[in-house]
Amino acid sequence: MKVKELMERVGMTETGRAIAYIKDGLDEMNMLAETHVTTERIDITEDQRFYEFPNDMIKVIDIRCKNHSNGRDEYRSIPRTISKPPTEDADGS
Amino acid sequence: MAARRHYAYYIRGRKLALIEHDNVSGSGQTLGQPSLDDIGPSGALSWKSPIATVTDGLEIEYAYSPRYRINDIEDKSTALTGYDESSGLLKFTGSGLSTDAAITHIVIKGSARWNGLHKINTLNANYWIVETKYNGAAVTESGITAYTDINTLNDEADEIDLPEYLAKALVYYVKAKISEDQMDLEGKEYYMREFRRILEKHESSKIWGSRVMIPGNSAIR
Repeated sequence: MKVKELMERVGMTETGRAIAYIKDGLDEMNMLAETHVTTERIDITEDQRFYEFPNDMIKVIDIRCKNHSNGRDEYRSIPRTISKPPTEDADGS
Repeated sequence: MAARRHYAYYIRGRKLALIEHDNVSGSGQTLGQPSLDDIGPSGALSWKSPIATVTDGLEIEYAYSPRYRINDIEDKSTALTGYDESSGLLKFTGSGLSTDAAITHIVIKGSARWNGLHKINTLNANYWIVETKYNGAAVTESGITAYTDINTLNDEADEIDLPEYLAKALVYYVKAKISEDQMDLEGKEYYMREFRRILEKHESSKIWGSRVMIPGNSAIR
């Protein structure tokens, strides 16, 4: 469906407002039903604890690490800790 | 055979904190001699920041909002070598970059920080400045890919990247927002209910057959 078609269906004439609502709706849909899913791989760096989430991420579905609980280069889901460990990070960022 | 590792994560603000279990110093399963400082009451001190560099070691699966389409996946640049700051904006650095004025947006993949859509501010053969805010040090990063043939959702002729059935849900969502603007709260609640109903129907339409329960990664063995 094109933006124009949607505007006609709801009886709107202001394009900017319609596109803003459409973008809100797409965000809401992905929060509720994950209609668009992708994966991103990031290098793990020694002694670096903090990693940025992808810029366009709406919702995390899974976090996997290479060789987690295996030695076959497989990516497996990693668990979330209940609390952070007492050992502080050197980069502190 | 690659070394077996044990990771875990927690969230701090907008960042993911990755920690790794240091078996050598803490578990007592190896011949390594742990120091007294490494042995906590429950071995907690053996969880620390990753103890080795692993290329493509962290994989994040996530949902994103389809606000853009990559028209041609072949139109890309791998000549970006890092990023820097330019008057408060993000500047991707490289060499031999395209200065084609038709490039209005780029989608970045393979970056540790800037994956996703960015609007172009300035095109130069040695750098691209985008509208994304950044104020920090220059960083060298390899493996960045920038897709340049992008269609963003910004005019009436654009196609919304949704299956036809879900587009109906989006119509209800926009109607709900209009009702809310008009203070028609009953109408808003009705349209939002229809929006959620269509989403749920679409979700359940993909489920077929019997189900099987698989033990989780952290299940008791």
